[in-house]
Amino acid sequence: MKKKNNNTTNSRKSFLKKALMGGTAATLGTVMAPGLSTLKASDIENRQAPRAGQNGRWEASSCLGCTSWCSVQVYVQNGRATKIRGNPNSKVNGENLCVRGHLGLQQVYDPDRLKQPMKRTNPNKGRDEDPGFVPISWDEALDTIADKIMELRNNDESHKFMVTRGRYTYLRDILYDRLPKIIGSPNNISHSAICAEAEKFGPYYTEGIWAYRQYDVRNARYVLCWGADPIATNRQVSYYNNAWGEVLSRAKVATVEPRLSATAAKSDEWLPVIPGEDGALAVAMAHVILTKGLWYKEFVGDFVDGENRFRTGETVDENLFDENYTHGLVKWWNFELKDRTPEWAAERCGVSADQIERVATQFAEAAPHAICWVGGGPTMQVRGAYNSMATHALNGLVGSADNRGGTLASNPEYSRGFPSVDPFLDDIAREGISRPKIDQRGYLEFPALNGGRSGGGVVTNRTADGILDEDPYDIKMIIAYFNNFAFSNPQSDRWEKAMSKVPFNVHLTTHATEYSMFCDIVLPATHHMFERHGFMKSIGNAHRQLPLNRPVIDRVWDVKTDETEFCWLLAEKLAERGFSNMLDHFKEYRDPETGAAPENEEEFDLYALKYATRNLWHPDYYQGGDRFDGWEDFYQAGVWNSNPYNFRGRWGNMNTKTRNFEFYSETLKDALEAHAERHNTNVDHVLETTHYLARGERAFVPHYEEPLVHGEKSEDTFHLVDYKSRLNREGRSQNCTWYYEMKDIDLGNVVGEDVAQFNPKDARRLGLQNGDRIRLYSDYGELECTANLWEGVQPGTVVKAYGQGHWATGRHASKEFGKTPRGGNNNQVLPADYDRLSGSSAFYGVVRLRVEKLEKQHA
Amino acid sequence: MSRFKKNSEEKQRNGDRIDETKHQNSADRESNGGISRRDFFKSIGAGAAVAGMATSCTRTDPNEGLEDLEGTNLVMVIDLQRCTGCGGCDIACKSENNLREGHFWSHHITHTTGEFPNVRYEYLPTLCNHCENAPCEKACPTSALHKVNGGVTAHDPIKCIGCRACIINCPYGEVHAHFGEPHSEWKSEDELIEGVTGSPKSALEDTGGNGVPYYNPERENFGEGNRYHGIVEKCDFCLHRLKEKKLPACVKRCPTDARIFGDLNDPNSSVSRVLAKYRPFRRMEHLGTQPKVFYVRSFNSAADYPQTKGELAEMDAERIDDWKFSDIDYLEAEDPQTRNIAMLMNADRQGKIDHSKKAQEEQLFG
Amino acid sequence: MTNDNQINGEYSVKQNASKSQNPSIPEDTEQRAVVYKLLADCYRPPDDMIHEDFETLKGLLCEPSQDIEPEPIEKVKVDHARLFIGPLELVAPPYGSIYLEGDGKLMTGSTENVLHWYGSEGMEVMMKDMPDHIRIELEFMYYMVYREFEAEDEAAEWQKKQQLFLKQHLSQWIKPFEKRVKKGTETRFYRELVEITSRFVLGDLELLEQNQN
Repeated sequence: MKKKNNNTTNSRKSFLKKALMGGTAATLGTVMAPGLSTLKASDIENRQAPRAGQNGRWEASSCLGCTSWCSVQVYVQNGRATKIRGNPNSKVNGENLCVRGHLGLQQVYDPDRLKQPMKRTNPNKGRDEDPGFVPISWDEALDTIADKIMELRNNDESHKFMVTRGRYTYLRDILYDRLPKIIGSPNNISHSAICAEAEKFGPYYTEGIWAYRQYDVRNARYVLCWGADPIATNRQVSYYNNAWGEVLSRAKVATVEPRLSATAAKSDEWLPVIPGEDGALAVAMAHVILTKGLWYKEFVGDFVDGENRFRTGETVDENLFDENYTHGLVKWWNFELKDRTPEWAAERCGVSADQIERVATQFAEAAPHAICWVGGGPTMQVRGAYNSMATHALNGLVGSADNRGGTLASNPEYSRGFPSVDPFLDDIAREGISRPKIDQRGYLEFPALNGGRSGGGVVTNRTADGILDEDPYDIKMIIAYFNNFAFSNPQSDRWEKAMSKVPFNVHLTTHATEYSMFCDIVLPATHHMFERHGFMKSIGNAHRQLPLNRPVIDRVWDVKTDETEFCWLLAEKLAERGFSNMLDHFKEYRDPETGAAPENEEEFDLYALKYATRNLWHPDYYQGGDRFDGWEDFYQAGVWNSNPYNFRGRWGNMNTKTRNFEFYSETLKDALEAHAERHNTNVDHVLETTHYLARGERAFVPHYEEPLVHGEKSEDTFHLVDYKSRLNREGRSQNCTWYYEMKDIDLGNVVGEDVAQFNPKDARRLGLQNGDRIRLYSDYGELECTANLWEGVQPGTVVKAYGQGHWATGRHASKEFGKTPRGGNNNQVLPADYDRLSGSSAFYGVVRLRVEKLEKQHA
Repeated sequence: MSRFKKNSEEKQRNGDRIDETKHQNSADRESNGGISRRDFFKSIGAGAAVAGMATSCTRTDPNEGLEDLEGTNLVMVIDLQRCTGCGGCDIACKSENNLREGHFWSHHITHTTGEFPNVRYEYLPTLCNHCENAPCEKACPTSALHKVNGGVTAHDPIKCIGCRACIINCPYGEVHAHFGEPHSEWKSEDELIEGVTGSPKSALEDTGGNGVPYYNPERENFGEGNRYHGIVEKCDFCLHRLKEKKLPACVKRCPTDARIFGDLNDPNSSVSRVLAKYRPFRRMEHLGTQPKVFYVRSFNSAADYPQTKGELAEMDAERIDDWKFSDIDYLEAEDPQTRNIAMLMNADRQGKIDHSKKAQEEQLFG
Repeated sequence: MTNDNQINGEYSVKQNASKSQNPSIPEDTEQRAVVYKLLADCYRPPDDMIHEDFETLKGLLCEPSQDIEPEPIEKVKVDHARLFIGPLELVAPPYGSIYLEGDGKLMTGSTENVLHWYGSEGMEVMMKDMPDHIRIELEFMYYMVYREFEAEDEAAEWQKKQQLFLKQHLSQWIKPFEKRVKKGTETRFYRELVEITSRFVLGDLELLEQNQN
């Protein structure tokens, strides 16, 4: 490093000489070091040490606490994360951040986090089995996993390998897609069906968007929320919180929700619908809008002679109506809407005819700046797909689809996929991939019509049954990451049994969760907000943003990033065993700046991110939105913002069969017919098998379906109204003490408790008081929690937040780790039922519970 | 590669007696044929102070660092229409001020009234009101609770004797007492899974942080970073941040912009102008404490109800639609009356005052 | 690759997107001190000695010396003024606070912190300028490295202070400063100087941090 040459010595000497002589401006004061010219000894007795703080830096990253996927900044002082805020560079959420962003601080430094890999020593798996975890090295863990994979491949059983994921970044395709494909398995199972797939069904089969929507609330004059609670939970909570005060000044807000939610509490109108009956409400509103002639003519069209022929009970001649950007309005009226009066709806849905008519009228009079906000409540039900269509179709009636002040899709973005996997698939791989998937998607009973295709979407919860019934075959190995399926799926005990059956399970996770307790190897993962690279995509404020996940603190423990580093290290192990396809593929992920191939897991992790986001930051590949000088510039900003929304850009150009907004869905007709044909049958038979009631043409229009509810209706049974706590970071924040300290921000809830809320009239009849310990049960399971009386509860229902009820995960999440739950997990009483057309699990309007006061009443 | 080790190795190679660098350097002098190291770098006189991290010190001048706030009267206005009851303020305050478990300086009161389905839920964000007529300050025997510039009720931990007269006297319950060590739960050595997870104690050690891993040292710039056994604590409008020309954490972190902070003595500040527009209420005003936290508007802004004199009136209730206009489309409405109304509303909005956080910062700190 | 040493939580990952390119940081403490002094001096208003100082600096860092004529001193003076002095808007203000707080202001919280640093060593600023001027911060580093050189048992303490100061100040703003200079400079001199400064500062911090373990 140090060259000894004369030049150096001579120059140094000349400098030293100069320094000796006092430097450029040295004076007598500079006794502390020779040659000082800018500093001098102080006369003042100013011995105050440097003040604490003022050396913190705001560093950008992303929050994955819910699917708002906010761009955030973390305040790092001396390498520690100390505060969190929204990223001012974001055009979606800006500096705003909802309450649970802050819980990340307690998550990342949680002492119950796994510090290093561990393996199971007790060969028996079960709910009551102690896994007997012992620490092992990463090396040993990876060796074991690699050996198991090679074993499966060598026995022609590569398809019995499975990957499941829960939360992710958009580097997910490495672990979720490439890895199983190269190994030779078709089984990559995501959590999407326990998330929101049914919600996307309506928007897809009307206007071609199988995705989340954003809502231009700042320009709206009526916002009608259907089971959506934008100021509390999904999605883009930070943005909508910021906008809501203004929305309330400019627009009327109405909320359809069985319980008094946060949004309902601040709404102009609360429509306390009976769970499952949202469809009745929606079609009745459509009836009102049409009979009053209030549909938005510019978008929908009109009767040729201008005379409104939509009269209750009367069919209409299609030829009399000229549609502009929609399709099938008159069919919809004729097949479904003509008899759906407010009075008819009021008989079954719990909302008065008056209110139905008033809300529908005022909603439509605000056209086109009137939003129907479709949430999970009406859609994630057994017959929820048509609720999804019915509620979303109202946007079509008022012309707010893709319009200012209306419901919008996602702005274009320019990230890329990863290098093609095809050249790296050997024969074993190709053979394995061609097998059917374990979740039975596409079976006659499970159309899962994501994107118009039979079996196009996942049926997450069905996987447990596939495993248990070995249908289509048995599963021998699972690698799961960022999820907790043994907790988060309805009728979760089936997962416990399924996991106990699978011989070899691996979990990449931050904590030892319920799922981990059934695993053979558990690997400590990085925390998404603080310790790893990745990127996300989210929408709001008429923009799309791609925020980066960045490591902003030094990793505290021996953790690795699931989606990238783990895969690389595994690929190395496989190559050592003579199977180098994965490693060869990963070497294709070159740094777009230098063209260099990665040589280790850290480089792979970084290059993968640079590769996928190249078009966002590389000046030579600029396509739109924010401009950056290069990678560093983008990295510091932490987020790329799209161009503003192109309103009405999709009018006449929707991703549907007719290119228009479909009230009579030709797109759905095609999809159902294709699925029927695949199984050599007809659409009516499909509907029968999937537990729907409609037949014939009604199947292709939004229509009312009577809800399918498990458990008989009686004075002693209560419809479960599940909802998500506004403190949930999905299922992961329940080991944070702040979660319990703040629990009362869920309306009517109690600090430190897991409450089931009853209407006081019902409670009196049951002899329940605040604080009573109770058991809730159904035919599928039971849970214990605390009773609470609250007027915001609809009589005949029991309202309980999802989130608590962990029996593992950590010392605060559970009562006794590995044994006793703290609170009760709603999934234990929910049946494993589905909206089969979308593949979604049903969480709402699906089960009635009984209540029992516990003998032992303790805190 | 260690520079330090290399140096001592070099010194060792040149002779065993590391202390006696003088001799060693003489040897160098000979070999280099030039100036000795010692002679080159003249030895210095005084030593230097240790640059450690600041801890709290008794402040001789209570207003040190707050000179810019002299003559101001700092108040907070909370707009309940914007507030969504999210609780972000509470947690932001906790992390900013290193509050121990169970303590809240920013908190809330919730209230449900009515009977299904006519139910009303309200959320009221609460904090110390920094009363002009503060009962806590009056009760404090040592003047540990005292007013500083801006009219902020501050607390000096050194002077506090923990008598808790303040807690007794505060009608709002906004002063909190400390028993035991702060963050004592982080002292536990309990490992969840032996050898695999940490314990709170090891997690704290591994990450650093004074008491909690996410400890915020900036709190030390006014008062104690962690308040300790025997004293009380309360919100001080984040004086440690005001010194740095930053808004209080709850104000800055509120995602709905419901909290507005500023100088009531300035007639043009956001707080003055908002209070001129909306009739505020304060907590327990009848007690005469003169709180400086004001609430405006309503958590639920529902406006529609039938125009009526009540059920006992003979007339049928007529519905009046309460339109909340926006400037879009209605400016182009066919009906002139609608257009006029829209234009008036629009004009009002043009003159809208900027109450954003940025505006507040500029007003207060320039 | 995994490493058994990492199991005990000593794992520390340098996650900066652009890795330091392992500059030739002199191992000799005395030389390090001299490098800092030279760096500080090279940002002064140019005089006839500036090129020679720069060559000395480059030599110490084993930078390849180029066989190109040094640029005329007038040109360098003009560039220096444009970049760092004015009278028009400074192309690349050489003050930490401009870059640290992110909104381009002077005399902010970080400036105060720097003053405290100097004060804690019994020093005050002699130059008529902001305390977080790059010359002063670099010279302060020189001072601390010199003290490390002088110290026997306390050398590690001085290293700790250097690390902390670099971490809190210089290393945090040297990159955006470098970007500004490179964008606006019209001379090879300042382009090379700022590149060398940036690499050295960041590399020095990296080595200091490695030393900690």
